Amino acid sequence: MFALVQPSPSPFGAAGELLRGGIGALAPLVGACSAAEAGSRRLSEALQDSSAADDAMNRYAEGDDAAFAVVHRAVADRLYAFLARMARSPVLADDLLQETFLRMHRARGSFVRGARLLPWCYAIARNVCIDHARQRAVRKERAIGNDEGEAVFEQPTGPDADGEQLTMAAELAEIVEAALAKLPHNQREAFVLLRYEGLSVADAAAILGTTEGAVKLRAFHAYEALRAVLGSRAPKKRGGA
Amino acid sequence: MSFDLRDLDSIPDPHRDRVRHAPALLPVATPGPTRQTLRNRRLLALFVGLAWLLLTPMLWGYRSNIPASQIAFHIALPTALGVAALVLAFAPGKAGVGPALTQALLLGVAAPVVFVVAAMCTPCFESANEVAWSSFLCGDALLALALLPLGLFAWAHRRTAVAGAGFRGAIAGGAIGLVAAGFQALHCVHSDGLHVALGHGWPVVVMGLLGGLLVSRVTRVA
Repeated sequence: MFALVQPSPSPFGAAGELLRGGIGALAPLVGACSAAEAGSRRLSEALQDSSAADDAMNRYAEGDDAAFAVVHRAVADRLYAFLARMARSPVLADDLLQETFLRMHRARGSFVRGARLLPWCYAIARNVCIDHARQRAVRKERAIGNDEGEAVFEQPTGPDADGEQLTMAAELAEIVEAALAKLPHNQREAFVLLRYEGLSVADAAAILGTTEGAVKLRAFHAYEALRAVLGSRAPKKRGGA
Repeated sequence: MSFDLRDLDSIPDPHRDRVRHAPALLPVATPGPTRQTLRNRRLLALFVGLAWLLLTPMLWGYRSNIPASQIAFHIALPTALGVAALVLAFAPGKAGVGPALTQALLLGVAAPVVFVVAAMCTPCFESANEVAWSSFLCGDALLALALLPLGLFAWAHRRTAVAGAGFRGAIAGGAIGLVAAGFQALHCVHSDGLHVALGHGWPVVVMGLLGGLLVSRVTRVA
């Protein structure tokens, strides 16, 4: 059903970004990552603001099949990131990404002229996640992500990374991952869309099919829960630093 | 109450490093209909649906004398409310994925309520027993009248709702029920306000439920 094509360049290249904006004990690492974070965010915003992908999707909706390659390049990484965060499994995210593109493929005519591509494809990706969770619930399988590839956290690398930083990063990642997993689904998706996908509250509300106030409320509750967990369970920096 | 989300960035991203490499996959399956195809499909559904709504009461027989109050409150009002709700339910909205939920829900819920209240404001002179029986019969006919347009609507919009398919389907079902109620009043010989509120009102609710539960399964992008 799908053909492998040349991998597209990814906007996510900042090693150690895991720790960005971390809690007080990790402040030195935060500074080291801020430049990478800023670059990543600029690229993300540029992607979001770009009208090239929107134009390509417009052409694709009108019947220009070749334009889909442009659409794919523009959103594949972001959708994969979103799906990996929601499914908490890179392996499962691969399958969900394929399903998302298949649905985009089938529903191309519903893309409204002049609309933006990102909210539209995020909404489809969210439907894919929901459908998958429902199917699993019907099959009485375990919670999403638990049996299709455990979370594997890459360690920050580079000249500034030392053993202690690596350990702390891994510990922090595990804490955040566990806390995210415990959040109610609607809070997690609101938080992921706002915090990690960098969408506006209005776009997130449209994608989630709810009001902006509800999105803010869900994200705020998620944020409070995560801050509480991070505050109480943050890995302590060893060696008296 | 306001929720301060300025510090959202202070939560680190545990998946940041492992989502760098999105698999490069490109669907080669048969693509879905183009925008033009969908537009043609909607126009066809609209044409056939309107023809059905006009011709069926004609076959049943249009009533000869329609009071002015009936034209205003039992025909024009539900038709206008239904069309407005239908347009809003499938409007693209700011983000291109649907209307704002508050607007859609407001009109979707308000439209049937306004219709029922307006009908109740017209003269009620039939006995409760008469109203109950005539409402049952008239409601059945109204459901039969509205089901085909609802099916056409689902066919024309299948796989087009990327967000909020459930509530949009419910609003569309109720809206089509309202439009059908307007056309049904061209045939219905009862001018009693209570009859219209009940007999033309309950099918609107049923249509809303059908839209939310069944039509949304067809219209959702899946």
